Amino acid sequence: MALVNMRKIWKLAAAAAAGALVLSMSACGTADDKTLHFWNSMTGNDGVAMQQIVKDYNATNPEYKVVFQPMQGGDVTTKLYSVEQTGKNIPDLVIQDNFQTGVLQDQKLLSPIKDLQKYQPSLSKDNYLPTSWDAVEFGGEAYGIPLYLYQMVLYYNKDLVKKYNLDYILDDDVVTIDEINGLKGKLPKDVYALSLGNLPWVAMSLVYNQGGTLDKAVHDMKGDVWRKPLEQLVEANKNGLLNPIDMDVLQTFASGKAVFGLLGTFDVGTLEEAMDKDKIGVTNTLQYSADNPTNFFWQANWIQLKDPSRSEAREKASADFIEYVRTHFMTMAKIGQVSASNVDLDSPEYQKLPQSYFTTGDKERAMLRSSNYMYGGYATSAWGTFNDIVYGNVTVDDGLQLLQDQTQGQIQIQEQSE
Amino acid sequence: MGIINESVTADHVAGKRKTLDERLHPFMHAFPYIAPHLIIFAVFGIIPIVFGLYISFTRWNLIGSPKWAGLDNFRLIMTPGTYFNKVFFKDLWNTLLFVVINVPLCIVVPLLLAVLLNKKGLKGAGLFQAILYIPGLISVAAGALVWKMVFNSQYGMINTTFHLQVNWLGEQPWAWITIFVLSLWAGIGGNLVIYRSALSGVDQNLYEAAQVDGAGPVRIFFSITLPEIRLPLFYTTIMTTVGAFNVWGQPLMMTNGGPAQSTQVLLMDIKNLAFPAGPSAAGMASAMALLLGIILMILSIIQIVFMNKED
Repeated sequence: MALVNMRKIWKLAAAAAAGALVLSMSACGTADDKTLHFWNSMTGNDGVAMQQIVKDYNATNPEYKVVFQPMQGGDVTTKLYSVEQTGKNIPDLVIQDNFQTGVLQDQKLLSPIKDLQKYQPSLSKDNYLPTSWDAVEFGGEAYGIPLYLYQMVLYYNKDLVKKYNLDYILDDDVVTIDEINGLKGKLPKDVYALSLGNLPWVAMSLVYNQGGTLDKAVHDMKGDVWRKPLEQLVEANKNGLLNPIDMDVLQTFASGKAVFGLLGTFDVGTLEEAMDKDKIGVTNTLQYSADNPTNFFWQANWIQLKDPSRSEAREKASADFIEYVRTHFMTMAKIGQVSASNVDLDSPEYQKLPQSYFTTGDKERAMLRSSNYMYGGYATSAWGTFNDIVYGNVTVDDGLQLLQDQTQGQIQIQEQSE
Repeated sequence: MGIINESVTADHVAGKRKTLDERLHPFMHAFPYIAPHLIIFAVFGIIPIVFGLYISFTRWNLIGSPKWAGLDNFRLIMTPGTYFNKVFFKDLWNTLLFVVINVPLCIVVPLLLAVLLNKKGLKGAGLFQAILYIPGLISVAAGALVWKMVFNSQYGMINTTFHLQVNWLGEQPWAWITIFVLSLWAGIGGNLVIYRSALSGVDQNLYEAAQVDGAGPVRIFFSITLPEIRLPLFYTTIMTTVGAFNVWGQPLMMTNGGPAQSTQVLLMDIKNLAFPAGPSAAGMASAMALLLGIILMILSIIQIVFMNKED
């Protein structure tokens, strides 16, 4: 009797295990299931907009339908490494930022874009903003396709500018930290000159503004290109010109408590919901010097991981979808993303959007900077330390030393890994 | 003597054949029942631990094969002046500070509340228990968002209600206090339920006898209540200590390690090293995690030995 029971139990266990195996195998989708897997970290408004584009694309009945798979930013990278190790379930389409594109290219994980250009020749340099295309090229070969650009830019409250007679600051379209410091004593106590958000991103522009480049500046975090603007921002904070650190940057600006707000290009939608659209002005991001003003932009790139098992049909379908997005980007542009494609940049509809400011005209385009330096991300990840310096929790010297130790420590480990 | 030995040996040999079958049989019988847990534990527990151990002796950026580095990661952590030495010991100190204050808080407060709620004739004890338990069901991230608003220096409830100008999240010791408040708020419920359950199992005759002997509430608490629930107390102490060493969400969400990295705990930098905004230093991150694991293991062993000794 006991033996019979044992057999039954084992049979049940075996059946359950087989069932689980079948389920897991089917989940892997080993056969060509005519779907393109699109991994990205678009979990906010950008995700809603991109999902709409995917939906519209799938409604055209393509041979391969696109499956939109958003996940948290870091998770995309971790998952990419996992599938690369196993060689299975490698996604067809991935969005990564400029620095991560550099890391993955250095690790020789990316397919060159010429594989996609075979099917869609329009996915080429001629059809994109030159600066954005430069950031996907490595040694003359493109390993990514720019999707959009984003950065912290300077918004200003038109009413407050008028009220406090600050037009002179905006006369050359360049606002320097020095000019912000010049507002000491000119504003009432409850109005800040600058609502300061996401400092490391702004620091990129400040570095390039002084003639620096990220590939050099990351190795010398104690250098003047970092030190000088930080010292001026420390002074601005001491003068009570910056919003307190725990005040929400967007809310401070939107509620009329700051003349200028360093906010994302992608924040424009939220801003327009929070305050009268006509009261919002936009200009170049904060500068250290009025000479050589620059707008350093991050960018989201299409990339493809190498996958020997990817069929030509799948490759073509991927190229078709990327081209579809390139020519149907307005849905994303409307939430504040700066398009990298000439289709939008030349379109009157796009030029009505606030962020078109940064790409309209040769003068603005000449100010654009980007970088795909693989260690660039190390310098921008220490948000807390940048804020500690500006808000006086550490001295400029100690803070920069910490940043230097941190970036060099991580780079040292990488160089010893090679 | 010789006869006895021969007999024992013969029995032993006969028994050995039988014992093998007998030993296999219960295992085979039990295996289907424990298999699901065993497989899950192996896949998500044992294998990652063994792999993590191996990785800690390598340099690995999550791509390709890890490069054997021997004890080099540990050497860098232990060499004074290196970045990794500074990070590890600064974070370890912050983590220890959190453990030393948070563990007693999360033991004593729920225990006192459990004693109060177990008072005879108290109405609504179940309701209060439910109210205190609910925060434990809410994610730390969601709870922290609310507490950050409460502690906001400009428009937070505390500063506006009491007309204070305290920078709770940006200055010490307030930054730590906000983290302890969040941790206690989220951690009361779990231990409270265990203590209430343990207290309800204490023989009431002991209390009555103590009262007859003239013992006061404090004497009764220390001489009867605590000894009677010492096993659940040890259990919760171990679990709370392990949980406190693995603190991550509370400082990350409340202060993001600030001000000046004074609330940066070990797990935050382990995660930052393994999954940074550039190439990963997974080997170094694993080495730090291994050292943290060893510290935890030593503390757990001490606690268990102490518990067994008391028992």
